[in-house]
Amino acid sequence: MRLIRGAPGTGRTSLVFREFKAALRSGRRDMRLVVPTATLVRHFQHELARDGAVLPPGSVISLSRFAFERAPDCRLVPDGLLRAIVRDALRRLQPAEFAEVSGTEGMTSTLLETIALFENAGCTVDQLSTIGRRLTPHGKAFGKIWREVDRAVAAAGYHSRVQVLRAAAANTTRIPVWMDGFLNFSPAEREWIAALAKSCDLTLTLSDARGADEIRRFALSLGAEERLLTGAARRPGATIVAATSPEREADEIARRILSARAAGTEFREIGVALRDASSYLPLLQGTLERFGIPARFYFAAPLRRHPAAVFLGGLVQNVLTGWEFGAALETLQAHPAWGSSAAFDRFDFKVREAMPGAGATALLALCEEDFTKRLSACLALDTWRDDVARPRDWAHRLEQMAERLYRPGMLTPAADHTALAMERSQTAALGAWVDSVSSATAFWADQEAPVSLADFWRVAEETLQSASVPLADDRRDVVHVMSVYEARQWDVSMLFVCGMTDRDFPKRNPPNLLFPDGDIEPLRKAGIPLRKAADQDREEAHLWEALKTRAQDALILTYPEHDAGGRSTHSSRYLTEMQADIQTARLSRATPAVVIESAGLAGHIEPPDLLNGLAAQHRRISLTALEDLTQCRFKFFAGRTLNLRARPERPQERLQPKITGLILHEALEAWLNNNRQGDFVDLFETAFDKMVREKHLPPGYRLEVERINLRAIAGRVSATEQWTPLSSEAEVELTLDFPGGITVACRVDRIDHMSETDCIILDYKSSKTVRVEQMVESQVKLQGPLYALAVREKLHLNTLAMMYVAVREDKRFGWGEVPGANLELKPIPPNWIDAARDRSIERIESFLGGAIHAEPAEPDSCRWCDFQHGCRVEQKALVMIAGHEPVVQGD
Amino acid sequence: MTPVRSGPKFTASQQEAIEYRAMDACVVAGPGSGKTTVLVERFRRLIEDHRFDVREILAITFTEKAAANMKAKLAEKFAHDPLRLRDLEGAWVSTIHGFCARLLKENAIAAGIDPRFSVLDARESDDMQAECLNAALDELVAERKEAALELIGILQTPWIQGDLKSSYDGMRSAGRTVEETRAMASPLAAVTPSGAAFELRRLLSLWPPRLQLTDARKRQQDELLEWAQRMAEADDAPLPELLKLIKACPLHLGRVADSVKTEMAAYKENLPKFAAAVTDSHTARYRALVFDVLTRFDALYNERKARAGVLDFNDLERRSIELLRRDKTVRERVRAQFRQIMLDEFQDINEQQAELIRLIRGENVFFAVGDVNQSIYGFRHAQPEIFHRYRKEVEDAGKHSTGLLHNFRSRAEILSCVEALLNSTQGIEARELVAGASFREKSGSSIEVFRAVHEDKDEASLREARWIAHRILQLRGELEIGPPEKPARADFGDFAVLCRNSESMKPILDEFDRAKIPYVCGRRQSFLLSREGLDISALLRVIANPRDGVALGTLLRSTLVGLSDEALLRLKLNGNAVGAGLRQPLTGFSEADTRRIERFNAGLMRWRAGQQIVPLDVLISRALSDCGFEWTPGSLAGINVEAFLHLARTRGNDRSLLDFLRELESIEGAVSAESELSDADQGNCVQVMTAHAAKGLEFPVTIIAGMEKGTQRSSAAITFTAEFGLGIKWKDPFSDDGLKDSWALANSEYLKKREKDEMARLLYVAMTRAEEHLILSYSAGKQRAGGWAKWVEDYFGARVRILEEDPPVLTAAAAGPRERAEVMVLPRPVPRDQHDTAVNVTSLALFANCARKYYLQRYVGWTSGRPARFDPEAVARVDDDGVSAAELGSLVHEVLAGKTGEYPPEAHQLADVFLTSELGQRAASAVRAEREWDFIADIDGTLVRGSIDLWFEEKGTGICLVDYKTDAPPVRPADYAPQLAIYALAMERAFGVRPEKAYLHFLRPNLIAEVQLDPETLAQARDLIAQLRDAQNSLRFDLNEGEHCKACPYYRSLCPSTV
Ligand code: SF4
Repeated sequence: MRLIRGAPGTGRTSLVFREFKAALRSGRRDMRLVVPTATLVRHFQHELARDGAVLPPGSVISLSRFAFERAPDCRLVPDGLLRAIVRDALRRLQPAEFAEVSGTEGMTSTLLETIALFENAGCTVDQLSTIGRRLTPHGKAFGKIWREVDRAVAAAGYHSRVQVLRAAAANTTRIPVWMDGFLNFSPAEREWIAALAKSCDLTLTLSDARGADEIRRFALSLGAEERLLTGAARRPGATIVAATSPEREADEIARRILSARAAGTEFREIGVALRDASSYLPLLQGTLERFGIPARFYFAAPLRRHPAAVFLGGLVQNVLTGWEFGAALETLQAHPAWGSSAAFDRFDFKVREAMPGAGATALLALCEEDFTKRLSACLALDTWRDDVARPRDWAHRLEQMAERLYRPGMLTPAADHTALAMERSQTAALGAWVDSVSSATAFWADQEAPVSLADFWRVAEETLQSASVPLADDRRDVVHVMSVYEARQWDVSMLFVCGMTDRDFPKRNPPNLLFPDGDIEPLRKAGIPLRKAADQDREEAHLWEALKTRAQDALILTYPEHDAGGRSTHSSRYLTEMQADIQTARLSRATPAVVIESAGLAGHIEPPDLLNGLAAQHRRISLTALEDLTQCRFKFFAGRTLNLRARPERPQERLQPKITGLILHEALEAWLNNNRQGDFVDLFETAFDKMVREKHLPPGYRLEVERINLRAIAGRVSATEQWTPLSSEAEVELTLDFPGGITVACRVDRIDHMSETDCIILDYKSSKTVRVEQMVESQVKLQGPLYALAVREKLHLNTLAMMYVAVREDKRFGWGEVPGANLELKPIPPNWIDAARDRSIERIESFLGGAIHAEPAEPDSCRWCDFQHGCRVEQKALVMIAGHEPVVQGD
Repeated sequence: MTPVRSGPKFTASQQEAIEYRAMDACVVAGPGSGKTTVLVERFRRLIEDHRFDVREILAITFTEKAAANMKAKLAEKFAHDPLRLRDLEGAWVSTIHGFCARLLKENAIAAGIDPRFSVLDARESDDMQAECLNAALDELVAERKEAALELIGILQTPWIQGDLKSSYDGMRSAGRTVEETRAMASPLAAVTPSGAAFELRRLLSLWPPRLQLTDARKRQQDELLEWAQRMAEADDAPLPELLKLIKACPLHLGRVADSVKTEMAAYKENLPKFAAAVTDSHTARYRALVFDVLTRFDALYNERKARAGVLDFNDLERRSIELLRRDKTVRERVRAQFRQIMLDEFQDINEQQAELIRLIRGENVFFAVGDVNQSIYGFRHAQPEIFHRYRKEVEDAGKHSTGLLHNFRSRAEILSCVEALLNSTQGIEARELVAGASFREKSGSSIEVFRAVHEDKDEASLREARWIAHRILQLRGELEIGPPEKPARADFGDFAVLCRNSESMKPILDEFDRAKIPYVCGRRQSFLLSREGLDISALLRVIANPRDGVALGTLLRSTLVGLSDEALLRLKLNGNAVGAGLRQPLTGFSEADTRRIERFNAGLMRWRAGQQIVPLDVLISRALSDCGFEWTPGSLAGINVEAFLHLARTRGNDRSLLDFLRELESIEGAVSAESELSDADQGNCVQVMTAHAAKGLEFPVTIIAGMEKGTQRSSAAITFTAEFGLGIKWKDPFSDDGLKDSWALANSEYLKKREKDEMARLLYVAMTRAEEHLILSYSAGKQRAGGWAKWVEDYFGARVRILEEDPPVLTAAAAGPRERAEVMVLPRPVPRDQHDTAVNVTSLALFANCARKYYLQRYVGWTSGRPARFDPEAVARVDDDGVSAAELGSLVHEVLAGKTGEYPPEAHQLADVFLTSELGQRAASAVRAEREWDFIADIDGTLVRGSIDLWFEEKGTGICLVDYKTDAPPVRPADYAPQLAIYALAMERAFGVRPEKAYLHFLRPNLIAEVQLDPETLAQARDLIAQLRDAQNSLRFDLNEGEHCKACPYYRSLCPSTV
């Protein structure tokens, strides 16, 4: 065994390359260059090829793959399957120590972590049981579960990591092996490497940093002959940059990348290393994209949330749970072609309107013709619900389902590389899903015994938990964004390390719950070298040392002075030890990808054809619409002209005043048509039930409270009245002719004929009494005078009184006088009818003339308006202050 | 930060508090008394002078912000000592919830909690509670409909969800379960009507003899006897009748005999209690039903939390207590660990928290700081009595009790005003406020009092808001603030407006908008309602479903799309609906609108395709970018956009878009008590908040607005107090006020008193936030103002400035960050070399065949075959022996590569075709032969990967390449020429010599074809690599349509070919 040591930049890797290439030239193909991670494998393969070598790809290999290569009869148990096995063991053994937590996800993860901890230490189940008596109760319970897991893994034909390494150690085929880029080895790996040192021509390279001392001692203990490279070490210029927030930090990184590019550095020569991916990954992704910097992110996304998994897993779940509408929509929407098709959008709204609901047949009934076929293919899966099959048949069925159902429509090449990345992720996820589901089959010891879909799925779900979508990006000129682990062996011209706060770097992992530091000492004494927190600290320091040397020209260490939540942070302690230029981030922003043209004209319509269209559409206006128009032209334009409708309300939001008003009106109509005979409350009940059916009002407490409230109101509506008319008419349809051939249509709730010539007009309101009272004063409410006008023109009746009946409290507000009754109405103002008519005409004319801007007559009512967030009335206000008209959007 | 402005570093009382004496201690710390400074210094000395380990000190603060502040100050203290600085990261400095979370995380299994638990914030738990409570009520209706309907009918209001939730909160804060609360006995003794009659008769019997009574008194006695008689017979009367009877009690104290006045007065006073007791007995059934709902709700809520692996704040405390109670080892370890526990704001602790502290407290380790005058969280169930008790305990035991007297925050004038106004008020512990800081000389007063007047009270509030805005604009840039040595002019960031409740902020914020005064107000919400926030919400709704017309309209008109209203109308007219119009041919639009629509349509497709694949915040920023929207950091728009992105990043990435949109609605509706931002990040903005939220903060200029407003919590329909339990108000047949049961009656009195106490304390807290200038303002309609305003008016009298007119209109000249640093605008780079680094030889061959097919199969990866109709029933069992054509191909290759193992006979047969062929024979006798020779080689800058089936070298002749094919023979063997040419190039690179010959062997027909390796073919192969690179760079992959399409797996599915 040889040990090559040297400072970064002294040519350790070049030496390895030279030797490797010489071996190639001599015709060898069996030598191996072993590196820590799969990403590095690719990186080294490419470096060698660019260096002129024509090499067998398998000759550069990661440590774990190398172990399998040396132990070809071993199969490492896949993470997902192991998870399923652990969960199952926990469920079956139910150790009292974990009784309360055995069903939790977290406990499964804790056990998995602990198994890994022991395996890293090179410990087997048997070894642990030899010291069983010295274990804590938690430790003993863990031991039991681990044994069971180990047994199940073996039964499934798989092996643990330790087993793989031990089998690899037994392989004595002699080949040349170089190992480059390692900072440390776990005890289990050391065991194997000791064997390798004996059986192979092993060369290990090491940095001369303090952190490598331990591994150096290890190599020397194996009898390695050491060689120190003495070239000039690399000393990249280091800069520390403080930014006020993570956002500014990301901007700063983008800014520096762009200026380096402008100065001639290619993107591919730049790396960004993250210690804490969870907070920086999406932030950097968004920022670099915004600045137009192509980047490759060496992080696999979890499969769980990928649409492929949502769709395919969702289908199975729906089959098992009966297609609850909400869950079904979420599933179907994830399909790569349906989710954004107009037919599905329509279906989506229909289903939402029909919620709550469930069932395949009910769903199908809501489907339009062209979508039915596609949907029925999914719903047909229901036949699997009660079926049983061999595990591998289930896997096969699900694979078929995935490949047949999860397909985009016709595919044109992506418009750009970000779109391409999305398309590629679809197929990558599909593949990962199928693989992951198939890996579940090994869970069953008896491969021939049929299981139900539910049983199969329970296990498959576990295997899917830990699956991820492989990265599908191999572009040549991109900035490399990776974890600090990946970055520690790359050579780039410029390396950023971001998030250098003391909270994140050095990272502190929480102690193992089953074997906290305090319980580890006795195990160590017994020869099980479990890692302690102090070991982790050391490893962090080594990582940092390695990272510091990776840039050839510039090392830029950045940190935010406040974290994402605004709390102040400390820079990493590692920075305090650095000799570096200290700078602060500059503010920067990207140039827009497209030029924003100043936004279009708002609030006005000019072209004659559009004005004609407007006029044609509004030849007939309902009185309620007219009231919208008098309140605000834009409200009318958006609601009545453009007919913009909001998305369907959620079931619990449906029971609103509008609906209660409809119920009461329906009952009223029936009652008045029946000449106010019969029990009003009965009519109300009928109308209420009808609305519950039609609007899918969900049953429950709220509905009953509303029913009781409304019933009380209904009781009051039919209470005795203070006058007796000759006759009454209900829901009388009347029209008014306005200049320009415009008809205003209205529907009067009730007209009481008091004599041949006189009448009283009533309009029932179910809104709050105070709001009804305000209607009398409102400039916007036209019902009073315009009903009177219509009654005069069409029925030739004089209106003695017009009143709004606030049904909630049975109060009346309005104008005029009812003979013999004391209602305290307001006197009918002079010019009442004409003023309202003139106001209406003015509004209609100006609107049809093209004035459609937002300008509410009663600003307080804006909060009830559907368009309050879209009308941009506040901008109008700003422009008004500045004294400009008309309104132009934008700034 | 409270400065210690002059004099020695610490005052004597600060020194006294800082000093460690190894005994329990209690410090009363008034506002601005440098409490944090004391805590930090004490912490330092414990470590440096008394050799405490950082981990042996537990410091608990009231808010997260206070904890961060304390940590930052500790870091400053230890800046010189990197080792200690490092330890500080692991220091136990946090809120009580932070402490519990850490304790539970470290002992999750012992505590019986999912080890990966996460903590719900207040809003999330509120939402979950609301859902569970509704579900519990719905279940009641579904399972016991009649009883439920009766309950609805008898409750004072059926909308009890809010009250039930806060009562439930109260129970848990008091450490009670629902069942324990159910078991709490009535605070009143049960009395029947006949019992009450008996008592009255007994009292009447004590009256002097009738002869000695006046006529009036005789009449009274008779009336009472008669009433007693009616009562005696009313034991079975229905409740309304009984209540009527009680109300009709004819007892007039003026007419009772003097000798029994006291007893009769007591009897009269007890009548409401009697009514409550009677109510109790009549409503017991319904009360039980309310508890049933609570029990069910509690179960549902716990189930849901357990399923999701989450805990709420209360659980953190409760589960910690349970853990410490039942696990002696943990308890002892914790007790042994903390040699010092410092607790701030002790007056705001509740029973449950007190219990927790009791459990972790060892002997003589407790150092509590508090100020009863600042106890304002009664509504969150704080119990200031706990602080009182502790103080007494410490004093009685002769332990360390001290007070921080000086106030280093405010001008003396302000402090005397607080003293004079509040020292004799109920709820305030009279105390002297000694000014400890020195300020600049100032000519005018530091206190202003306004009263805005208008007949209409809403108008009056608006007028008040206008004056506040006006005054800020006047004072800004004029008022001198800061220490004498460093005076500065007040800017927006120096002002704070404190309101009694969040509803009263609206007119003020509206006015600030109008006057362009920059402000922050619970920033977490305000950005959602900002223009940018609204536009982004609309964008997301449209991505979710563009049929949402309201969102679509909003988005199209927004600056993100910028369509004119004319275009909108045209879309509608063209397509019958705006959304449908987008999909119609675009006729009649202006050029600019056409461009906008096309860009929007393309963008929408792209955004929709990306939802769920790319993280939500990346999706949003991509969409904004696609729309040409870039923001300037630090600008108001930028702050809003980034706040939205932050929310999407933290809340949006593990859920569907629709879920996130629901979450948005919930966040919009929630009120945040504490701004999450550090002071440094608030920007130069006026801060608007409730007086409660201002606790712990200080501002140069403090404006207390809307002082006439009040809050009424004692009047809720359902209340809970730890003292009495759950009180319910039932429907009163005779009034709208509701009928209190005995618990409600007791609660209401208790809460009224507490509210009164806290009203004074809240004002005390609010006023003591002011450093240099204090404005007290209120509005009044016709009537005299109530609430705080009344106290102010009484105190200031003629000094109140009456505002009967609106102020002249002023608008802020410039708003925004204090200093706007220069922002660099960076040009977008032109990307080069976006092709893949490496390529497979087989892919190249495919590309040569049809670029589109290559794209679909290799570049994107849709490998699956033609879309057949999916019939779940027709999916066969796995055929255990069958081998597909593709599999067979690889098996044949394996056999030919010399691998050993079990292979199907067909594989051997096909392999034999080669082995027995002439080519096979030659290979067998060659001097050197390599099978499955795989390689990576750099050819013209692209890394080419491939695997050569066989090459061999014969004596005398050069190298021969062989490629076996197990599929049907191709139409033209020349199609495979590029593949073999590249193999040749790789071999030439590897060995320095070019192969002489290359053969294709089609095994099924046993046909051998030679491929020419002439310079032309090799050049074509290199050219092909270059073409592929170009195609990948420009993403152009053209169809190669022809008859062969019909055999292509993508024909009539992914590929648009129409041959
Ligand atoms: S919110 Fe107000 S201004 Fe805007 S459209 Fe509606 S009514 Fe008009």
